[in-house]
Parts: sequence; C-alpha cells; structure tokens
Amino acid sequence: MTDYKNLKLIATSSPHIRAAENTRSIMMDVIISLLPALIWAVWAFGPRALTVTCVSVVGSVFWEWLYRKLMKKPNCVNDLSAVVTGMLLAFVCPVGVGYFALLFGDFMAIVVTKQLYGGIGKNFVNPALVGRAAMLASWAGMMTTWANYGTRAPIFGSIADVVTSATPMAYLHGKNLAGLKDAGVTIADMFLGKIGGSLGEVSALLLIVGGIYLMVRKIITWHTPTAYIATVAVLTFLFPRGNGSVEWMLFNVFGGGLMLGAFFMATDYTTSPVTTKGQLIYGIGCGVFTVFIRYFGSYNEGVCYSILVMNLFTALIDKYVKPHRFGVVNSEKKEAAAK
Amino acid sequence: MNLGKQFKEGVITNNPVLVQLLGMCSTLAITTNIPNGLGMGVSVLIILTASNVAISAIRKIVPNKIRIAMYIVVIAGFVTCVDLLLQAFVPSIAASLGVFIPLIVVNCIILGRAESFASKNSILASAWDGICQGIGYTLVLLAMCAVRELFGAGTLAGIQVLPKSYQPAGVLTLPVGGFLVLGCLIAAMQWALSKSKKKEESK
Amino acid sequence: MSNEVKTKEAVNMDPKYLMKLTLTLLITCVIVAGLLGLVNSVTEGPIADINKAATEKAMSAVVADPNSTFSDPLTITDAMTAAATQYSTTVDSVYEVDSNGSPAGYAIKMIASGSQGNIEMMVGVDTDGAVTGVSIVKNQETSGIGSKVMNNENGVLDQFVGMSHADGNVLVVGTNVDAITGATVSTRGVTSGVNGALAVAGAIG
Repeated sequence: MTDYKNLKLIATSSPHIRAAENTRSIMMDVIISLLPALIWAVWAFGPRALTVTCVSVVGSVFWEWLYRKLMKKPNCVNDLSAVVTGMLLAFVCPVGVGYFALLFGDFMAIVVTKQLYGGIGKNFVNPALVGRAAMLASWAGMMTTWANYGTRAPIFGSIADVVTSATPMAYLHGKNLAGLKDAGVTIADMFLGKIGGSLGEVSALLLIVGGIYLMVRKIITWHTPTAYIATVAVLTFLFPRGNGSVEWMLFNVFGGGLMLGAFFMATDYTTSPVTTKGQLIYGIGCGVFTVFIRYFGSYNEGVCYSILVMNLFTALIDKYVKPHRFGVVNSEKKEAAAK
Repeated sequence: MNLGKQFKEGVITNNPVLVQLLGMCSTLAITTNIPNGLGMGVSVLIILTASNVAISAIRKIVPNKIRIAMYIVVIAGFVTCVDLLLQAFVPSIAASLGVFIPLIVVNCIILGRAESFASKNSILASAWDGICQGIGYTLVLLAMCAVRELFGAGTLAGIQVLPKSYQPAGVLTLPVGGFLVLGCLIAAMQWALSKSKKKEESK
Repeated sequence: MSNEVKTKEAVNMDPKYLMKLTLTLLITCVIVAGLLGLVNSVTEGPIADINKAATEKAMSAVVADPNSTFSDPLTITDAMTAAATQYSTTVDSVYEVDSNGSPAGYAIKMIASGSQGNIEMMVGVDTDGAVTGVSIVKNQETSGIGSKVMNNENGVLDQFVGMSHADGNVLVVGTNVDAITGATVSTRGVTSGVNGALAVAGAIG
C-alpha cells in the first residue's frame, strides 16, 4: 500500500512538468540577472553600494535563519530566496541608507511579511517592497536623500557630505521638464544610468539586460513587464506634463524604479497572477497606479506602492480570469445555443 | 474571595488585553509614549474599580432586562467624572489623551468585567477584580509604550535613552507599529501560557 | 455573559413591570446626573481658568511682540463668518492686538476639522495680512501622530509665519505647505484654519 501520510504532495497549478529547475536555481538566475545593475551601482555611487547590498543580504539571510531556527522549522536558507529579497531591498534604497535601517527593513521583509505568513510562497505582498515602505515611513529623510551620480559615498561614517541634488523623479513630479533638461540630464543619461536615484534602479539598460536574461532562461514571461511599462508609456504619452510628449514619456519610462519594479518585483511568482491574462491585467493595473501616484501623489515615485496595491488584487484577478477547463462547455454559451 | 488567584488572573492568565483581547482600540491608539500609557492605564483602573463597586452594589436591584443600559449609565457617569477631574487638575494628560478618555465609556474591558464579574460577585471581590484587571491593562499599556517609545522615538518617558546617533524607527509610533507590537505581545503571552500549561500537565 | 438571557423569551408586557423598568432607569439616571453636576461644580472653575490661560498664552504666542495686549473679543460679523466658511472653517473669536499703543493686527481663534475632531487654533495676522504665528489651543488628534503637528514638531506650525494670501496664493498642503508623514489630514486641518483666518482678517479690514 502507498504510504499516503509520508507522501510529499506539492500543490501547484498545472501543467505538471518535471524539470531540473528548482527554487534554488531560479533564485540563482535572478541573482545573476541583478549583478550587472549592482556593478553599475558600485561604479556610480562608490563601494558603499556594495557594502549596503552585502549588509542587506546578510541581514535577510540571518533573519530567515533565526526565525526558522527559533520556530523549529526546517531551515531553507539554501533556497537563496532571502538573498534575492535582501538584494532587491538594497536596490530600492538610496546609497546613503543606514546599515541599522537596512537590518530593520530586512526584518520587516523576511520575518513580518514572509515568515509570519508561512514562508516562501505564502506571502501575499512583495517582502522587499514592504521592507522599503516600512523604512520610508520610519526614516523619510534618509530614504529620500539620493546621492548624485559619480559620488563616492564613504563605507563607514557620516554620509552627510555626499553630494545630493534633486533626482530626475523630483523634477518630473514638479512638472519641471525644462528644469531637468537645464540640469544637464539627457534621455541617454537616464537610459544608461548616469543619474542620481536609488542604488539599483538607475540604469534602465542594465536592468533590461537582466530582465531579458530572465526571459531567455524562462524564469519570467514577458506579460507583466511589458504590460506594466507599456501602460506607463501610453499614459505618460497621452497626458504629458511638459513640452514634447515623446520626451516626457521616455523620461518617465527610464526614470525611477520602473524597470526594476517591472522586471524583478512585479514578476514575483507568489504575489502575481498565474494566468497570462491575469498577468496582463496586473501589469496594466501596476502601470495605472504608478502614473497616478507620480502625477497626483505626494511622493515622487509610485512604483513601490503601485506593486504593493496590485499584490493585494492578485487573488481577485486569479479568481476572475480562471482559464476554461478543457472539454467543459461554457454554460452561458450552452444556454445561448439551446435557444 | 481569593486575593492571590484574582491578582494572577487579572495580570497574567486572564489578562484583559492579551488574553481576553478587550480594549484593543485604546491599546493600539495611545501607546506611543509612557506618560500617555500611564495616564490611560490609571484612568481605566480607577473607572473600572469604581464601576465594578457600583454595579456590584446594585446587582440585586437591577432588572435583568435593562441591566446593560444601567451599566452604561453608571460607567458613563464615572468616565465623565474622571474626564472632568483630569481636565481640571492634570490638563497636560487630558490634552494628550484627547478623545480616548471619553471613549473609555465603550471600552469593552469595563462593560465586560461588569457583566462577567461584578454582576455576580460581592462588592469587595468586585473592587479587587477592578484593581487587578486595571493593573493588568496598565502593565500591557506600559510594555507597549516602552517598546514603541524606545525604538520609535529613542526616548523613555520623554528622556533620551538611546544615543542621539540612533535614528528612531518612526514606523513604530504609527498605527502599523501598534499592531505589530501588540501582535508580538499576544503571541509571546500565548506561548508562555501554553508552555506553563504543558508543564502543569506533565506533572 | 449571563446565562439568564434566553433567546426566545416571551416579552413581558405587564404595565407594572414596564413601569418598574422605566422608573429604575430614570432614578439611576437622575442620581448619576446629580453626581455629575456635583463634580462639574468643583471642576468648572479650574477648567475655565485653564482654558482662559491657554487662550491668552496662545494669543501671545502668535503675535510678533510678546508684550502685546489684547482687546475683548470683537463681534463676529456675517462677512467674517462667510470668509471662514469659504475654507470649511468656523471663526470662534477675534481679538484686536495692540503693541505699544499701536494696532498690530488680529489674533483669530479658528475651528477647523482635523482627523479626529475639531482643531481649535489661534492664528495671528498682522496689519499687512501675513501670518505672525499659529498655535493650537485644543485638539483631539491621534496621540503620537496628529499630535506631532499639534506640538509643532519639525516646525510644521512655524512654516506658516509670513505666509499670506497676497497674489491670490491659497495655502495648500504639498504645494506651499509641508506635511508630517502620517499626519497629512491634521496638517490639512491646520492649513485650512490658517486660510480661514487670513480670509477673516481680510474681511475685517
């Protein structure tokens, strides 16, 4: 007889295909895809970018290990998901973020958001973004002081001397496209990442490279990122707040955390819909909220909150765009046919 | 009447906030610094004891049908008294607690103890119950205040405790921090209670 | 909860019984009300003193010259009420400020709505129609959040000093007024009060 009690049953959505890939290999690919942006961050903001990322990763892994240990649950640090969360959290912080604040953000991300709800695959919102939201609520000043491109932030000690100025997002939020151009920022700068901003979000190019790598490795599909970025592009093109819709659109698309959010955060398996149709709706929703927050909110950037809000809609989206089961006739169609 | 047992119930095994889960609204809302928590806790303690005594005294003449209305009238009377006295003699506490003093009228701890204890027990036992439950409530408030004030503002009772270089995690003084701290406290309490229960069973 | 309550109890409509219920409740209410009256008679004086002291302190805090003297409250005209209503606020009282024998504007007590209830505040406006200071007299804002605005943390109240409606600029949170995180509604309440006070001052002159 089969030993049902000890059978390992894993509930996933179909199709059930056996493959060599597992959580660890997926997370490894995500880490690889994030490396170009990290290297760029070190180039753009100095070695502190690297130490900030390392502290965040170590903090995440430590909290995960400690929680599983204290709760006497099997340890799953090896699946590398905490490493990815730590990296993403560091990427959405400015380079001058305090190390203690990072550890607090890691705690909110790993323990409160992920482990308290049952660990990997059970969290209902993106852990790294919750960590960032908590840090923003606590240290609004520190979290909105972005270093300029090319500054060398010291690894230890005061970051008060770091040269900062308004980021492109601040200009865009103030409907000041002309001021942004006067400051010498070109679309090419934005695309390559020669601008101030959060640690890992500045270089749209390298993030797109990472995203394409993930698509080629079939870790993510094109649906969510494309729907997300396209929605932002269309909305900003249709409702520009400066001279030149195309220019305004490009600045908005390459600015802020849009690329990072679209490729690496909105595509999180646990917190995004499973069906392709659902992913398209979800991406469009993220885009709409992002533009709304950028246009009408009090914050410059809306990627973080728009993804968090759409995370909450994921279950609803999944419920209403259920694919039809093969062989089952749609009851409405059947009724229509009967008439 | 069992003084020790009632005290233990009020503070630990039947703690109004952590075990009965009553009075959560004020617990979440005002526990941002220690003076607030102390002021609120003591106000509730006084009102709870007074209303317990009054309700216990009239428990035999109150018709069952209108008992809740009677209790509310009595409680509202005491709350208004305390509110007026605070405003007249400790205006700073009255100002910082604001609307939460009048809201003690609908604090479930008071009505809950009136219904489940004072209406069935002697005056002395009810008075002691009010004091014990009040102490239990105050202790929880103080614990929450200490955590939220220490890490959310770096101070304790307004005195700078953590070094100035510590940048306080302001999220703890926001409502979300209240839920977090309260959740952790409840979890810790349940964990401790279940552990001591297991110990007793294994004996 | 009491076990005596049964879900399907026949309602006793006996007039005597109903009378008894009504009378018991009435007597309790009368006794409680009497006690409250007693407490009120004790606390009335101190509370009035405290409120008066708070009003005067608030008035001297919002004018440029701390040794100013204040007139008795002016009569509130329809024009003032209308000016305040424009910003969904109510004007409570207006005092003329007198500094070294020359008129120095007005101290206006406004009532604006915050996140938990009304915010009573004192706004000083000089003769040129610019704010000389804002202080909160009474509020019910959430302790630890809205109270940050009320306690002037990060100088959130000081930022109003010098602002005016000149050039048709209305004060708006997020545009020319900075809010405290988590306390945007409280800041908006104060801002609408300041807007109202400026309008009232305009209606006087």
